[in-house]
Amino acid sequence: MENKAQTFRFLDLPGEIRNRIYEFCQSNDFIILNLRDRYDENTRSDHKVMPIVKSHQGQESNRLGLVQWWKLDYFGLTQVNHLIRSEYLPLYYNSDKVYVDPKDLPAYAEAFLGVGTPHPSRPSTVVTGVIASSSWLHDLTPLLKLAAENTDVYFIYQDYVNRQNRGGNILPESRGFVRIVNMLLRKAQHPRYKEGWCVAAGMLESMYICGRARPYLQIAIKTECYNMITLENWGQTNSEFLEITGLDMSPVGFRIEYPNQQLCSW
Amino acid sequence: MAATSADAKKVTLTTSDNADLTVEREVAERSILIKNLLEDIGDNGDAIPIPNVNEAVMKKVLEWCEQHRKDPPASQDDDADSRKKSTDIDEWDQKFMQVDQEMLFEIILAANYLDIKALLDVGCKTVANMIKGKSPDEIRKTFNIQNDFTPEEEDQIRRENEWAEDR
Repeated sequence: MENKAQTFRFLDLPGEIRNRIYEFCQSNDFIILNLRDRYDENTRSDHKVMPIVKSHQGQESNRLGLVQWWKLDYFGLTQVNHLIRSEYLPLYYNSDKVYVDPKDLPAYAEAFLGVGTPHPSRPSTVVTGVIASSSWLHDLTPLLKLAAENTDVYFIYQDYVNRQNRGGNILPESRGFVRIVNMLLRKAQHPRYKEGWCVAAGMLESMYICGRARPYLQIAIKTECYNMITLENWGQTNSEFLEITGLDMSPVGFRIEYPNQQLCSW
Repeated sequence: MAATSADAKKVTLTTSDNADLTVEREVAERSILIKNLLEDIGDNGDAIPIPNVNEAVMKKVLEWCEQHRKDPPASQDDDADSRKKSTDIDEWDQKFMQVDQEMLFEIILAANYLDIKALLDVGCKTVANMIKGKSPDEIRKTFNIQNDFTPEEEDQIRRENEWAEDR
């Protein structure tokens, strides 16, 4: 009896109550995932790397090289036993936006998107772009493939570091990215491309690749660059651009839609 | 016997172990189940049977209801944003929940049965706080759970653990 009083009979609770408890076991807005060995390489030796860690108090870390390690709040619950894992894991990851370094995307897909053994959990949004190790994805093929194969997940490509201090440096590498975007515009035979639109380096804030319902690519232009959009860049004036797109968001963006098989062919 | 005016606002609850507990109606009506019963059958002075809750647990639940008798009723919107709920618990409730694990379990079940959402949430938050920051092994010990993962699941977990999180 004494033992009974010391142990909480979690598994004897009705499923509806366990679900209610799980709802309280979600404290994070987003997660940055790093392959552990890569992170360890980049981490100062006096950093204690815990088995599974996270930190989050509601704000994005702006010192990616010196990330504080915190013990993960509720990750442990995803690895307790079969039943709890099957109940909680989808909630755990679905609640989060996951940030992954572009070069780790294939490994990420293998671990979390169910290449091989289907993973019981999938994130709702995967964000990639410039993260801790400052890599820049020149080849969007893996990302587009992932988007085509995982239509329930949002993929966002964004200049993550520069988001921390807006107006900061525009990486020269983004020229390569811009070329890819213009290539996509051409490939998609977007009406605006036919009208002479193209994207200039440094104007891009992020790119959304979404496989939901109908695959689309959305390119977001940095707000501060919006005023710099010229006829040469777009073949349209600002006001015409807004009129055509009807988009009134910051950063300003437009959407290119194209069929699924084209996504796959990339 | 007809209820006198002094007793008019009291109700008697009969617990699963046949104990009669008399409380003010306002306190008992923190339970939506009891509130609805009283509205449906009318307050004729008869004891209301609560067959799923024993005396010890019912007393504890009524202690909570007494403390929270003046709280505003839960609104429908409370469930609107089910995600990212805070696990903060006020001081009185924290002390109230300092009970043995079996009592905590019984309070949660009783709150669910009696339909006392705020008390159920306090119980669930208490359990969530027991989980917070613990490793899988620590959670297994806390809840006396066996690791029953299949080799495939172990493999999946191994792959997950190759990733470190930070924010």
